[in-house]
Order: sequence, then C-alpha cells, then structure tokens
Amino acid sequence: MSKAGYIVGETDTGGFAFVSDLDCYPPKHEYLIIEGVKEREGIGFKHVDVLAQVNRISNRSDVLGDALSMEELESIINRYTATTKVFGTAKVLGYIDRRGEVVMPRSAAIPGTEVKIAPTEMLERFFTKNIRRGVSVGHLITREEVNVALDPNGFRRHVAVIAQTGAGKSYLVGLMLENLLPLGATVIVLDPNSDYVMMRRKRDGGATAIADDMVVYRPPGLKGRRYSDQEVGGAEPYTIDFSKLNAGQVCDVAGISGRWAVIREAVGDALGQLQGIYGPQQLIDALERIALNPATDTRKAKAAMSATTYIRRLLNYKIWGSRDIPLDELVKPKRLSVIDLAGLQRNVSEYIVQKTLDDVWSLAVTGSLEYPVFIVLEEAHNFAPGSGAGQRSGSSLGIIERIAAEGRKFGIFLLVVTQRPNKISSNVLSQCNSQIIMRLTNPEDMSAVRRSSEGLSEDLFNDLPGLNKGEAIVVGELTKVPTMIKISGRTSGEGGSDIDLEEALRDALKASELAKKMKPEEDDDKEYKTRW
Amino acid sequence: MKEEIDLLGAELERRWYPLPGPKAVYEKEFSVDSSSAYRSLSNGLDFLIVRALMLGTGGYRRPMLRFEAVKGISEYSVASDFERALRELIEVRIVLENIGDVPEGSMVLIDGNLYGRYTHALRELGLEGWHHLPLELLDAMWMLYEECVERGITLVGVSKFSKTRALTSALLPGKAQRARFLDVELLYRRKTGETGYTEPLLLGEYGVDPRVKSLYGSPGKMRASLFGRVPERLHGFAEEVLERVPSFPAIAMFHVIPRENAQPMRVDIPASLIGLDRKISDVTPFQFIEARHVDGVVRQIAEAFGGRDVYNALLYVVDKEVRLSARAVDTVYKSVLGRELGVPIEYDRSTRRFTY
Ligand SMILES: Nc1ncnc2c1ncn2[C@@H]1O[C@H](COP(=O)(O)OP(=O)(O)O)[C@@H](O)[C@H]1O
Ligand SMILES: [Mg+2]
Repeated sequence: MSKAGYIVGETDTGGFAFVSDLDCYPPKHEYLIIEGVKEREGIGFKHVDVLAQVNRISNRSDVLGDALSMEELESIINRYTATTKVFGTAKVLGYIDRRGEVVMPRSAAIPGTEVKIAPTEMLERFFTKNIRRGVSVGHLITREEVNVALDPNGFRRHVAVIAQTGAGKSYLVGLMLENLLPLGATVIVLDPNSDYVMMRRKRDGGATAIADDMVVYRPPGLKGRRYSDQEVGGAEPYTIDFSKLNAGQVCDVAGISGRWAVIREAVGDALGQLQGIYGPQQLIDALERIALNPATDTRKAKAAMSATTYIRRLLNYKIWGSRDIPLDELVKPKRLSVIDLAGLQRNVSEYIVQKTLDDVWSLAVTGSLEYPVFIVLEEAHNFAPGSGAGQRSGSSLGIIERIAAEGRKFGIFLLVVTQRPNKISSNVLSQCNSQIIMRLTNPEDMSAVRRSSEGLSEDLFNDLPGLNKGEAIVVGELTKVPTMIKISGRTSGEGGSDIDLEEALRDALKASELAKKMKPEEDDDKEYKTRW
Repeated sequence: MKEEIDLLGAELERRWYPLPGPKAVYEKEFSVDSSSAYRSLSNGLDFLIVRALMLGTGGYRRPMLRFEAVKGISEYSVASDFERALRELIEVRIVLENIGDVPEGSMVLIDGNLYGRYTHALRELGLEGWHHLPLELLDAMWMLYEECVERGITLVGVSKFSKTRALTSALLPGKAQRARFLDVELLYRRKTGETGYTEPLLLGEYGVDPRVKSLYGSPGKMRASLFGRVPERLHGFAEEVLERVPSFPAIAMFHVIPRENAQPMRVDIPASLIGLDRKISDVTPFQFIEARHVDGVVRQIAEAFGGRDVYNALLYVVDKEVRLSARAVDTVYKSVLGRELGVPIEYDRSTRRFTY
C-alpha cells in the first residue's frame, strides 16, 4: 500500500485535506485509506480503516508567485527546479462494520495521520454487495483492477439511467441485460431506436451467449431499417389489430387532441357501427356515413368529416394486421424480448408501449405473473413526459406512472433510460431509487437529477460534466455506496450506436472524386474556359 | 559631513570595479537558509521550531528540522539570541551533513554575513542550560570551513541589508576613526545607476572586542571570562573551541551592484576558500586584496540576479521555501508534537511570537 500524503488542517467526519508531493500524490477520484481510526463503540473504542475519495488535487508553488516579474521568474527557473506543493481534499466514504455494511465514522481523522492508496481487496469489498452473484458492469474509474458488480436486489426499486446522448446509456443497459439474463431475468425492451436489436450477435461476429433467449419483434414491411431482419438474426413480425382499439386509443393514435371532444365523440359513434374485424378504411366509411346522413345534426356532421382527415393518415401506417405480440411469450423466464419501435409514428409507438405495459400490468395484478419482469424504457421522457414538458401528455404516461408507483409490489421493475431528466415525469423519476448517472452538462437536466437523487452528493454532482464516455456514477441500492464506474465488458452488438462520421465523410469524398473523374475531359482551350 | 562624503567618494572610485563578463564560473550552486517559529505554551514552556533547507541546482533539496522546548524565557533579547544562534547553527549543520553531495568546484550560498556569525559567537548565551550554544556554532563553523577547503567548495555569505561601516571606515584616510556613513549609504549616494563591485576588504580583528583579542592564546582564561556560566563538564570542549578562535580564516568582504539601480549586496567569503592563508588574528584593519580573487564569485552573483525581489535566484527560492507558515506550525507541527510529547499543545495567547 503506497503512501499518498498526510492529513493536515481541520478535519471533520465527512472529509479532510492532505498534503502530498509530485511523486506520490493520488489522482482525483482515487480512493484513500486511513488506517486504524479510533472510533467510539459503546463506552470503549475500536479501530477501523476508513475509506475516502479524493475530490480535489491542486498544485502550488510558494516560490513562483505571481508577484514576480518575467525576468525574476527566468532567473529562478534557469537554475532551479521549483518544488511544487501538492494539496488535496478527500471525502470520507465510510468504513465496513462487522456485518459488512458501510458506515460513516463518527470521529474525524487526526491531522498528521498518513493516508495511503486504498488496496484493491478493500475496494472490492467496499463497493460490491454481492461479489459472486452481482451484475458485472465494469471497474472503478481510478482503479481498473477493481471490478464492480451491481446488486441484483438493487433493481427492486426501479433504476434510472440518465445521461446526455452519446454518454453510453444504451451500451450500459445492454451490458446489464447481458448479465441479468443468465440470472433468469425476464426482460422486455421498448426500443425506439433499434438500439438493442443486435444483441444476438457479438460485436466481432458470432452468436452471443444470450442469442437463444432473445426475440426481436418488429413490424413487417417497414422500409429503410438500419439493420435487416437477417442482420438481426431473425425477427418476429408484429402488427396491431385495429379493430381491438377503443375510441380513445384510435383518437390517440390518430393524434386527435383530447380537447376536441366532439370529434372524439364522432369517432366513438362511428366505431359503434362497426363489427368483427375491420381497419381504418372501414372507420372512414362509417364516419362519412354519419357525416352525410341528413339526420345528423350539423355540428356532429362537421366533426365526423374532420375526423376522417385524421383517420385517413392511419391508412399509410404499415402496422395494421392481426399479429399481436404474444403476451405469454413476453413474460417467459430467462427471456429477452426487444420490441423494435424504430420507424413507427410517435403516436403508434406510444400506443404499443401503453398496450404492452397494460397487458403486463393486468397479468401482474391478477396474480398471473410468475416471474419478475424488467422493463427497459428507452427515451423514457417521450413516453412519460412531465407536466412542464410542454407536450401533449402521451397515452402511455398513466400506465408508466402507475408501474413506477406500484409495480415493484407485483414484480414489475423499470429500467428508465433518458437523456432529458428535466422533461420526464417527476412521478416516474422520483420512484427510481437506484440511479446510474453518466455525463450530463445541460444545467436544467443537471438540476432535475439533483432534485430527484438523494444519494448524489454535492461533489458527485459537480463531477457530472467531467465524466467521460462510458463513465458512470451509481447511487442508490445497486452498490453499497455511491460509486464511480468505468463501464466495460459488453460483448453483444450495439444497434443505434453513433455512425462513424469520419469514415462516412471519407466515403463521400471518394464518391465525389469518382464522380469528377467520370466527367468528360475538359478542353484546355483558354478561350473556352474564360467564356465560362 | 559634506567633506567626509566627498573624501569617501573619491576613495571609492579607486576601489571600484566594473562587473566581469556574464559567464558563470561555478557549475553547481547550493543555497541554505533557515526559519523559525516561537510559541509560548500555556504550561510555561517556550517552544521553538527551527527549520533549515539546503537547495541546489537541478532540484537538489534537503530539509532539516529541530525542536527545542525551554522553560519560559521572559526577556525578549534572550529569546531572540537563542533563536538566532539555533538558526545559524542549523544552517551550518545542514551543509556539513550533506557536504558529501556537493561536488568540487561548487558554490554554497548562505543568506547573511559570515563575519558577523563569528563575532557574535564570542560570548555566552544568557539562557540557563544553553550558555555554551555559541561554542557549538563556532565549532561547527570551523569544521565547515575546513571541509570546504578540503573539498574545493566555495562558501559565500550574501546579505541584502548590511549595516556595516567596514568599507567606509577603510576608505577614510588615517583610518583612525569610525566612518559616519554606512557602506550602503555611500554606495547609494555615489553609485546609483551604475553596476560594479568594491575591492574586497579583509576582515580580521576589525569587529572583535579588544577584550577578546587580549585573551588569544589563553583558552582557559578566555572560557572563564567569556563563557563563565558554561558548566564544568563542558569546560574541555569550550577551551578546545576557544583555542582555535584566533586561527579562524579572515573574511573577504565586498559589495556588489549587479544591475543598474539594484540594491547593493554584501558578500562574505572565508579567505581560506579563495586561496589566501590569512587568519582573523593576523589581519589588522584595513587591508584590501586584489579584486581578481573574487572575480568568479562576482560573476556568479551577478548572473543569479533576477530583479528587485529576486536579488539572488537560489537564495530567493530557499528563503521562500524554508519559511514556516504560521498555518503549518499551528496545524501540522502542533498536532504531531502534541502526540509525540503526549500532551496537548495549547498556546498561551498573550505571548505568541513569530520570527522568520
Ligand atoms: N463503456 C463504454 N466503452 C466503450 N465504448 C462505449 C462505452 N459506452 C458507450 N460507448 C460507445 O459510445 C457510443 C455512444 O454510446 P451509447 O450507449 O449509444 O450512448 P447513449 O445511449 O447514451 O446515447 C457508442 O458508439 C458506444 O459504442
Ligand atoms: Mg442510447
């Protein structure tokens, strides 16, 4: 264990300052140990090893002050290597008591005490609750050799994964799924960007260990997908049976605002006339019948006519059919179901989210859900927008809020993924007692995170903008104490990852050069050129 | 007054030399300085921390620390004598301790004048239990000078604020009386705007009390007269040191103005280190020596001048670094010592003192 410095100045139970030097100073975020801190126990004392984390490192030269002129500085620098003093401050994280729990000490460290770099073995015990049965996600940011595994029990309280786009949310969630599935988990992913469809394939080709336990559902016949069914490794087609939609759902999907009560009423009336299996065209016909019926009063006739405009849009949707996603498949144990929502209209996606969750919820509350179900909700701010978000509250909001509030009683656990914590319903976010927060720089989103997260201390909060891609702060029930992790080890392929722009531009350049070459040779005649 | 300054000015012209070329001569330079902090503790003890630092070109750095706790000293002058003696001692000791790291042909700079250290050490300290401290200093200085000769190291004292009148007195025709002007005053009046240095002056008996001179050669009497309160068990040591007193090397002293309008610096070098075998006791006031003897030192010092605040680069650095900040004393040392001594250290607020 190597020396990192000495504690100086005033200390308290929460932290201390230390002096170090350029040869042994610990980097920011490094973990330190103060050995043998005297801690009261009953009427006596015990000695405990306290773990702390560096939250600031600064250098100072007493000699090379800013009062010196350039000439004076040069006279010094030319003949002397000025010593730099290294100062640091560290935040106390706690010590492990006899039961293996992390406890904050009630004594402050004594100035003059040596601080050391914390040993690997201690860090492992400190951060991972259940080393053998944990969900492995990577290692400590400052200590690559210390692996961190999340406590599966931590998922009981719903998990929020929050970070700006590109920070690595989907990478992390995919990794968690890879490791949750072998534990027997049932997972349903609501995937608006095809982020998870490639998880059957390893990044370097070949099948992943979870390939056989995974099903991708996607609507057939959508053009311009990023990954074909073949690349994905096969997909189950799913459609929506239009005739199973009630009036409210039809209006939601068609984008008829809740404020237009008459129009919605007209849709209800028209649906009342239809029976058996039908599609949007039949609904349009029914609406027209109402509109043209001389017995209809003019207000309703107008409303029915307007409704046709909305419903007509639905004709272009390729989603209608009779192949529902089979609910009993979704809730099978050790099963990963990815519902690909990419390419669908927003209202349609919302409907699918709502319907899927409603279905699972109905199973759960009737006691028919045999195993716990994890639901991954990507772009959660779109499906569960907050009231201040300035958007029409989507049809899926209600069921999401309900599951957030009560789901865990019935074995439904949410994994909420969002880049706009400021725009997501606070009823949902505040129910996620475990949070994994990655790089975040937007001030509004940062303060939303701060409001919703009890475990996020001031200095962890301040670290958010400084995190690199793939680095995460885990607070809540997933680890014993807030932990800074470098996420790594994903084997499965990613779907929606960023395109390599540099490569794409190179291709574009090549194509443009090729095009130029194929142009007919230009005439060398000067006169000819000047004319142009 | 007018007359004296004119006389002095005329004489100065004869003893004034332009700076030699800018080429530094000593390949390696070291510098030494010390600082101290005094605290009166509530249990009646006075507690002194003395710290020395030796720096060298190329990142060389050696610290030394000394703590002393003494029964409350009521007289301020005694306290400051004690403190000064300990600082001067630790500055010499740190060089002695690390002299093996100093290559031949190096220059070691000490902040302050060397001659004064010697003359001050010729009387006992008025502090019970520490009467002999100046003898320890003399002993250490002797060893240091010997080591430096042996190893070919040039030890140089540099001071920025010297109150000496040695030069002005030496310049006065007749040399009978003490000059009314400080050396720096003369230089200020006559040499402002110029650069150069004064012809080195050998200091021997000049500042030594005549009473002391009369005791040369009789260490027993000298001990009894100057160090009467030194306990008997130290008599042997005391006499051994005092016997060497007349044989201390004389000090070559000059002033240098390294840059236009810069404050003059006083430089002291033991004669033995510039190849002159001259003792304190065989130099009567006032003898100049040829300027070439100090040519290398002048070059080096002129080169190391950085500016108004940085009159010598390495000494500036060591001075800054050695300072015990009040905070360092009050936090680190206080708690470390409290643990070491097994008593909590509380200051007596009324008598807090700092010295740097
Ligand atoms: N921990 C990680 N290690 C390596 N690369 C990562 C990591 N996390 C993310 N990436 C890469 O960064 C890019 C963006 O990650 P992604 O998970 O899609 O971000 P987000 O979902 O937050 O927008 C992807 O190309 C992904 O491969
Ligand atoms: Mg993503």
